[in-house]
Amino acid sequence: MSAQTKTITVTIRYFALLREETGKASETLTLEQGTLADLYKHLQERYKLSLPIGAIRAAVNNRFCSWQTDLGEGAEIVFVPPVAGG
Amino acid sequence: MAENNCTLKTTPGYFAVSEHIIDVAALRAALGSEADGAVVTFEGIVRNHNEGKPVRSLFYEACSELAQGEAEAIFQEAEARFGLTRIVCVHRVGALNVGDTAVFVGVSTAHRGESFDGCRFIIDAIKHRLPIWKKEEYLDGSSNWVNCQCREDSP
Repeated sequence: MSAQTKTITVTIRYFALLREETGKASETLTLEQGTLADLYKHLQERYKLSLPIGAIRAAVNNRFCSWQTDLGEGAEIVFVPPVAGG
Repeated sequence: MAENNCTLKTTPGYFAVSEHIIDVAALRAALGSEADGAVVTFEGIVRNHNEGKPVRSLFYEACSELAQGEAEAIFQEAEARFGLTRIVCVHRVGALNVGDTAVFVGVSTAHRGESFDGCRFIIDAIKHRLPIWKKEEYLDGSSNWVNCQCREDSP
């Protein structure tokens, strides 16, 4: 990260397979400002996540959002693996 | 005067995620009114097999906040399409055994056709849209998050 890069702090909650693969239910990260897709790719590398981005949906502050959404300071993020209710 | 004793808020619908055994009778009591001629309820039950494998138990997990918002969106769509008067839905989370009720959906309307169709619409939407996940634990000791194409076989 260069000194000029703006950083933000976000909270991520993990469920189901993502919770097991990351080994945590949530975490707070400070990272370079970017999109939801940038963040998932970062996490995929960091935790060797098995689910491709195409299999996942993402929500910010309790609303489903597109992968191009820019993350803001304090965002609360949920990555939603393929669901199977009922 | 009082249509029933239940205090559940059923307009547009009542939704909850619960760690406790679903009280089907209490949920049923929240449905229906003097203007309703039909009540349809559905229970999803944990069965002992899936895709040819014997299932020992299930574990459900949910993101409650997201599920609440999505359930309300589903209820509004169902209300607009089928004219449902009341909707009640509860989904279990945690460890469930074969025979347990995993999900309850109940609706009421003036006539039966809309109740059948509306109930079917809601359970289908819940299975496809709510952020709820199911891990199957099999008799042979292996387990699998359903739809996640990742099988963790025991050593």
